Amino acid sequence: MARSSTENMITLMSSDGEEFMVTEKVARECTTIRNMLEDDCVITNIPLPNVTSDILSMVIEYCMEHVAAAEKAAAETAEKGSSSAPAAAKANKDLEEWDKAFMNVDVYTLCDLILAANYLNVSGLLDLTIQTAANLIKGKSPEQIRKTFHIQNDLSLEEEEKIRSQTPWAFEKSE
Amino acid sequence: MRNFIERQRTNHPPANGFRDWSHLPSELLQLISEKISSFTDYISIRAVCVSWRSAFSTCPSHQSPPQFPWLMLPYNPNPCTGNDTSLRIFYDPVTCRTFEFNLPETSRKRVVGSSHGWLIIEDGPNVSLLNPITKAVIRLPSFTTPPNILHFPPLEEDLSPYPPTVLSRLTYDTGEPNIFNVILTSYPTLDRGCIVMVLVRYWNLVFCRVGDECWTVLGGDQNQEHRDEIGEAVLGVTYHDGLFYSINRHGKVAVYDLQSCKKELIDSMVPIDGSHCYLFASASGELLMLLDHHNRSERSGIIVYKLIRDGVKGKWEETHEIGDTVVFVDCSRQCFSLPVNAFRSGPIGDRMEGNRLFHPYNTKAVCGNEDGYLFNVAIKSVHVGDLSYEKINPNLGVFHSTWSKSMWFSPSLC
Repeated sequence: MARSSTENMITLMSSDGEEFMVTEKVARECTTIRNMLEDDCVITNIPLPNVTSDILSMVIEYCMEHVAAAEKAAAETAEKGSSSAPAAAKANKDLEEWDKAFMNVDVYTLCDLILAANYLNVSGLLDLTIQTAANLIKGKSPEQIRKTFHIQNDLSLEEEEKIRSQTPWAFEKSE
Repeated sequence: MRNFIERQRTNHPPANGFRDWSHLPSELLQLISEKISSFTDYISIRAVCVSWRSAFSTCPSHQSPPQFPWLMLPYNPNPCTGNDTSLRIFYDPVTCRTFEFNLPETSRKRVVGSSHGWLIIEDGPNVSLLNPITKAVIRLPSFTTPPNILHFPPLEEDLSPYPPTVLSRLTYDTGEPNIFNVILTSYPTLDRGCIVMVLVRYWNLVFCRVGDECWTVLGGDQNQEHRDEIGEAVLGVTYHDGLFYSINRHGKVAVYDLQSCKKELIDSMVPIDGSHCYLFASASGELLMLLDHHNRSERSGIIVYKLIRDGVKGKWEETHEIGDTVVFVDCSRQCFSLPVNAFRSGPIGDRMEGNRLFHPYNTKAVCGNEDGYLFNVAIKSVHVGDLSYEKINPNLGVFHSTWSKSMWFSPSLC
């Protein structure tokens, strides 16, 4: 890969007007931005009206970490001729740990991250955030899920009664 | 330019109404539901709020990994005594909870088997499938409708008289079940090509696809010595990777490919001596047979054999290693296996080891009344390696086992 192309800098602008300068390689982790760059290769300034600066900075943080991990793995392979399995496994585990720590956020941020990962099309981040949300649901009753995600119960009494009568046993989870 | 690496994350409430989980676009909610591995969690997310309820259909669009089966406990559907309440009890060995389901569809009828989360119900010659979780019902053809016959070339010339009489010989007034065993090849609501294979009285196999008008009898074997006068003498049947396998009293193993109408026969000697015989496949695809010798009570009474195949000949060898496979056997002739890693994403996680089988059994009779004896039901967990076993939850209660038997059931919403 030509080294110069990875050194190009791109400016991403959040909805609240904050600017983030990142390498093209990091920006390309977002498929949405990669497509823009491929359509118009001279573009250097990309406004992202759907993403706030708080969330955009987190998305960039995620992309930088994953680009760095991939570069490190590629460098090791180039150095030794072949990648050593234990080293690769350790690197994977480290990245998993990093992802786990990165997901230590409140549910509002998690919601924004899902929307941003979907809008910017960062498949790894979308997968991570979706899995985190699914893990928060695991083993919970509907009421516990509402509490966790701060959701108002807007089901009518009749509707709720109907749902309960269909599968009453499913609502007897330990509250 | 701000430094986004060292920024502090704060626990902040919503600044506006935008980041509202109830208004997450449905395609994103769909992605979340696809990561949900337990069907009870799926029921829960459908009961959270209006928008979540409409985002998730009653049956998940993805196939979740199989659940650890529940045990459907025996009940008394005796039409003569007339006191069947249609309450059916299921026991979940993972959470040690029992569930009472009101299933009027089973009232005074016999549940003769279960597969892929569906119960098969016999009501005279009428056969139906019921999903007790969703209450969905699928009617299957009646046994009184003349069946089709599927011939397997080169046995096309098979004119043996019995296949057309396989169903017409069944009787419906004896109180005995006509269906001994049932296998669904997939979830019938997800797959229109789902095949329902049943082992019927007089030991013959018949099948139908959901929506068929009649049952189809599997064309027989020309060679008279491979079967009994009245039928194929099939003792056990299983399905693995697109193929059905059956074994009969004379050791004949048949491999059926119903898609391309192919049948293969393997001759084997079977050490069957009046014991119950079950076929199943291991996680790695080996054909295994399980014999339940009730008389060998000093051990678990169970012996597992592996088929060593040499062309059209086969030999059953006792084995103590079935790999990362967990087998569920029950008193109603069901036997199915699951790879142990199927449970990894569920509540069991990696606490479960393979090479193990689970089967319910009746402990000593408690007392008798006009309907027969009452038994305690317990579950044995048997290690295939040394056949040592432990009882799990020996106090499931006291049940009739005259009319129905404890039965494994894998709950599903599909």
